Amino acid sequence: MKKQTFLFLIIIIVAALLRFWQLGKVPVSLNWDEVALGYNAYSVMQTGKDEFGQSFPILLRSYDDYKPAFYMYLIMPLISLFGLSEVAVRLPSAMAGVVGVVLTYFLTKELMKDQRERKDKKKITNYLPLLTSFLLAISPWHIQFSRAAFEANVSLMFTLAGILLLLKSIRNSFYLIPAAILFSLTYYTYQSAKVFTTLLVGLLIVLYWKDRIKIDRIRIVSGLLFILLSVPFFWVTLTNPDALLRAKGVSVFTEENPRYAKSIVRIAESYEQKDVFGIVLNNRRIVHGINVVNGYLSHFNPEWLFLPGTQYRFQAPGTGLLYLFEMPFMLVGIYSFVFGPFSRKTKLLVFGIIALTPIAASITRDVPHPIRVLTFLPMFQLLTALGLITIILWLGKRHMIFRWGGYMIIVLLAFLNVAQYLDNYFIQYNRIGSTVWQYGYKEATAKVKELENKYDKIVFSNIEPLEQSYMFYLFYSQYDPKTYLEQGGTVSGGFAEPHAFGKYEFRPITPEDNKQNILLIGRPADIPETARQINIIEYLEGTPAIVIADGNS
Amino acid sequence: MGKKKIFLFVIFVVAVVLRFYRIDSIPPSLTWDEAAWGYNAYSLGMDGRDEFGRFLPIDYLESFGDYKPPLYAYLTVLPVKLFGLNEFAVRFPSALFGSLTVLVTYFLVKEIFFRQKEDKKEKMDKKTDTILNYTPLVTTGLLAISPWHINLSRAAFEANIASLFIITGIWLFLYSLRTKSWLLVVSSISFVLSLYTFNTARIVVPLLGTILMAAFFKKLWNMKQIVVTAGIVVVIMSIPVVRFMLTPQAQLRYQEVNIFSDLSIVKDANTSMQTDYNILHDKGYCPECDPVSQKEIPFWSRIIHNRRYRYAIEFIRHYVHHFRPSFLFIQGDGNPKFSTQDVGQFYLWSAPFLILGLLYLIREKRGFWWFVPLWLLIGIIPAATARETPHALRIETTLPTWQILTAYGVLTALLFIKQHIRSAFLKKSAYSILTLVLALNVLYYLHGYYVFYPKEYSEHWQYGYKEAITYAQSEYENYDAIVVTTELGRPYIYALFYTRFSPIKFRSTAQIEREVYGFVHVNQFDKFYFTNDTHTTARKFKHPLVIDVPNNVPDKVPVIKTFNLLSGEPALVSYTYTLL
Repeated sequence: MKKQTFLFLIIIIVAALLRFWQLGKVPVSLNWDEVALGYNAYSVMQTGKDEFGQSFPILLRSYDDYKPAFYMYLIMPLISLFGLSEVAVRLPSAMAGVVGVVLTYFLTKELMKDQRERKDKKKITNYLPLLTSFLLAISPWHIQFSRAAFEANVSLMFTLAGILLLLKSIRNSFYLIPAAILFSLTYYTYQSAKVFTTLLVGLLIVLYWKDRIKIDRIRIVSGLLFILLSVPFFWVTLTNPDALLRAKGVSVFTEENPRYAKSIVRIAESYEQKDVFGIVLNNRRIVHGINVVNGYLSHFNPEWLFLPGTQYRFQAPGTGLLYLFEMPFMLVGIYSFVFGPFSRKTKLLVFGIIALTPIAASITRDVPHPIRVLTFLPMFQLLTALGLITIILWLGKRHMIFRWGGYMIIVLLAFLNVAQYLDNYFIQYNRIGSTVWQYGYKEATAKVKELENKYDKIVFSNIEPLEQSYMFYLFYSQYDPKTYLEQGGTVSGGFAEPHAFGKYEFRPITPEDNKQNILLIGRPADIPETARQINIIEYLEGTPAIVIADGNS
Repeated sequence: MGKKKIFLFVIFVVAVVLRFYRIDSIPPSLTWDEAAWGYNAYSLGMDGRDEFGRFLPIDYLESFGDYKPPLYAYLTVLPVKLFGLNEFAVRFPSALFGSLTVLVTYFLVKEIFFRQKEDKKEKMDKKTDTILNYTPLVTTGLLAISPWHINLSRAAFEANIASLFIITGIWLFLYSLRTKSWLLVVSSISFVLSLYTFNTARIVVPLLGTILMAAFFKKLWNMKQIVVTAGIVVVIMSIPVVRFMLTPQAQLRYQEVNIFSDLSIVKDANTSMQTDYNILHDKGYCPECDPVSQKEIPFWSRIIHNRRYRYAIEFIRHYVHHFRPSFLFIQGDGNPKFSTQDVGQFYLWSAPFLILGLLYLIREKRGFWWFVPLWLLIGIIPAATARETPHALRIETTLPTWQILTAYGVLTALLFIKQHIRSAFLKKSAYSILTLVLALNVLYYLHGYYVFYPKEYSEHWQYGYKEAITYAQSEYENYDAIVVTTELGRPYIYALFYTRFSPIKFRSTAQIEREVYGFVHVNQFDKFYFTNDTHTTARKFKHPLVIDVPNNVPDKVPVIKTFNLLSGEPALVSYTYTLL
C-alpha cells in the first residue's frame, strides 16, 4: 500500500476514534437542543408530526427558535437502530465529523492543483493534504462539535463537499449537480447557512465564472436545481413571521448595547446644543456599524482562539479552540500562503471563506461564537499545516543540531498539548461541565417513572437552569408521541412558558403544590422546606442538581 | 527635499495643536498622580526638596508610597514657575514631549530604513524605494493624529516622557552607528533617563539595549572608544536606580500587580491531578474523596497539569490580550483615562493596513526591518506580567512601531492602486474613499473627545476636588477645621495643590502615617483633616466644615453646597454642624 494511503487511513482511524469512543458519555448528558432534536425525530417517526403537530416540518419550531429540521431527519433511522438514546442523537454529527476530515484531505488536494512550479512544491503537495486533515482530526474545535448534536457540523460537511465538487466540476461539469444539491441542503440543516452559503456560492461564482468556458446544459440545470431546492426553505422562513424570532432575540441592535445607549444620549444633547457634527457622527447607523464590525473582529481574537476559556458548552476546560502550539505556525502559514505559489483563485477562496464566515455571527450579541463560525475549519488547519511544513523545511536547511533541536521542540510541544487536551476532554470535562450540559434529567426521570403511580400530579420546576424541563422528561421517559399529541402536544416554546400534559406539569413550584399526593421535582431552592426529600441527584462535582420530593402538608 | 520638510512642519504643528489645545480642561481635572507631580515640582522648585523633605531625590519620589520614578517632577519645576501651580503647568511636559516624539519619529524611521549604497543585500526595487521614501512622513503623520498618543500626551503620564527618551535613544543609536559619531553617548544617556521616568522602561530598555548591542556587535567593535565611554556613563548614571530596585519597597510594588501571585491556578492544577487519580482508580469523580499526596499522582498527570506550564499560559494570555481586536480598533483600553472608549488604540481605518504592512515589511526586508516587530513584541512583555491587561499605558513604549507598520501598509496599498488600477475614475474613487473614511474616523474621535468625553468620564479624573477645595479655602476663616473624606481617594494632595500650601509649612506640621513598605497616609495638615470617618473627626471640633460623599450626610444636616461631576451627578458635598 502506498505511504500516502496508509497515512490517510491512520488519520481516518484517529478521527473516528476521537469522535466515536465514549460517544454519548462525554459530554456527560444531552443539552436541551439535543433532547428536542431527538424527541421530535421520535415523534415524526411515529406520527409524521413534530411536538407541535406540524407534519414533516422543514423548520422545527421547538423552543420558538425555528431550527432547520434536516438534522432531525438524520436521527430518525438511527433511532430504529439504537433506540431513543444519546448515541442516536449524537451519531449524525460524529459521522459528519469523520466525513469532514476525509473531505478535507481531498479538498486540500484539489486546492493544490493550480500551484506554480517551485522547489518545494512536491513536498507541499505530498504532505499538505495529510497534515491538514490530521490537524482537523485532532482539532479540539472540530471534536467538540462532532461529539454532540450540532447541526453546524453537518452543514460544514455539506459545505466542504459542495466546494470540493464545484472545484472538480471545472474539469467535469457533471459534479456541479450534486454540488448544487448539497449547497441547498445546508439551508435545511443550520441557521447561519442562509447567510453563509449564499455568500459562499456568490464567492464561488465570482471566482470560477470564467472557468465555465461553455455554458452547457449541466451548468444551467445545476444552477436551477440549486435555486429550486432552496425555494421551499426560504418560502417557509419568510412567510412565517416568527421564524426569524431567534435572529431578533440575539441581535446586537438593541438598547442594551452600551455604545448604542450612549449614542442616544449624545444625539439628544447634540440637538440641544445644535451640534451638527454630534448628530451626524453618532447616528445610529454608524453606531450599529461599529458594533457589527466589533462582533466580526472578535472572532479573530487570539485569546479566544488559542487560550483556555470558561464557556464549557463550547470547550473543555484548560483548552482553547485551537491548540496553543498551532499559534505560531498559523501565523507563519498566513505569510506563506499569501506569498506562496498557490494560484490566485485558491488564495482568494481560502481567505474569502475565512472572511465570509464571521458575517452571520457579527450581527448577534453573544460574540464571539464558536459554533456559528465553524466554517473557519478547516481553513485554519490548512494555514497551520502550511506553516508547519514551511518551518520544517526551513529547519531542514539549518545546521544539524539546530535542525533536530527544532524538530524535537515542535514534536514535544505538540504532543504535550494534545495529551493535555485528551486528559482535559475525556477525564476533566465531565467533572466541570456537568452543570452546563444539564446533567441530572436522565437519573431524575428514571426515578420519577419508578414513583409516578403513587401520585396524582407531578410537578417539575422550569426555572433556570431547569428551563425546558418538559422536553427532557418527554425524551428520557420515551413518552409516546401519539398520546402526547392527543393530549395537545406543545402549545408554545418560549422560555418561561408552562407545559402540561396528562398528570405532568412543568412550571414554577408553588406552596399549593406542597401536598402528599403531588410529586415535586426541581432545584434545591424550588422545593418547599417542609416537603419530604426522596432523592437528590448531584452534579459530578458534588453540588445538588435536582431534588425529588413529595409534599407534606 | 523641501516638500518633505514642509509636510513635516505641518504635521508637527498639527501634533502640537492636538496635544496642547485646551489641555487645562480636557481631560477635565487632575488625577491624584498628576496633582502629586505638580505639588512635588512646586516643592522642588522652592528648596530642592520633595513634599516630604527629601533633598534632590533621584532614585524615587515617595509620594503615596508608590515610589514614583522622579524625573517627571523635575521636568515640571520650570513650567510651574512660569505658569503657576495649575493644570496647564502639570501637563506641559507630557504635551511637549509628546509633540517632540512626533518629530523625532520622523528621523528614527529614516534611520531604520536608511539604504546604504554599499549594502549588497539591497536590491534596486523601485516600488519598495517609493514606499520607503515616504514611510517616515506617513508614520509621523499617523502618530500625530494617533488617538493613543494624543490621549496619553494630554495628561501627566510618565510613560509618555519615557517614550521620547527611548525613541531618541534608538534613533541616535542607529544614527551614530552609521556615522561613527559620539552621539552614541547621548543615545545611552537618553536610554538611562527613561529608567528614571517610568517603571516599565526598567525592563524594556535593558532588553532592547541587549538586542541592539548583540545585533550590531561588529559595528560597535569598530567604535570601541565611543562605546566604552558610553558604557561608563550608563553605569554611573544607573547606580541610583539599580540600588533602589534592589530594596524591598521596589519589590512590593511589583508583587501587588503581578499574575504569578494568583493561587487559584495551583488549586485548579491540584484538583485536576486528583481527578486523574480518582478516575484511574475507578472511584469516579468522587467529590467527597480525600486528596492524595503528590507522590501517588501518576507522572503523566503531573506533567500535563504542571503549574509552571499553567502560569506560562497565563503570561501568554495577558500578552495576547494586547492583540484583542476591540482593544486595538474599536474601544481601546477599558480604563477611560487612557481611551475615550469611542475608538480603539488605533483608528478602525488602519486595521487592514497594519496587517498589510506587517506582511510586506517581512517580505521585502528593507533596512533594519526586523527591529520594528521585535521592538513591538518586547515592549509588551512587562505588561504581560501584570493583572490588568491590556494596558495602553504600560505598552506605550511600543509606539511608534505600530504606526511604522501601518504606514508601510498604507503606502503599499496606495502604490498598488496607482499601478494596478487602470481606470482613472476608479483610482480617484479609491483615494477619495480612503481619505474620507480616515477623516470620518478622526472626526468621530476628536469630536467625541472634546464634546462628550469630559462629561461622560469626569468621575475617572477625580472631578470635584478642585471645586470643593477652592470652596473650602474661600471659607477658611469661618471654620476651625476642614474635614475631608478619603472615600474618593488621596484628598490631601488636592488640598495642598489647590491651596498652594507652603511645602515648608506642610513638612513641619503634617501628621503622616506610613505602613511598613507600603502606603503613605497624610492624616492632617494645618486645618485640614483627612479621614474615612468624617463624622467622628468632625465632632471633635466646635465648627467644622465637612467635605463628604453625598450618601454620607448625617440625617437632618443640611447640605451647604454640592459639587457635581460634569455629568450632573454629585461627587462631593459640604456641610457643617455646630455643636452647641
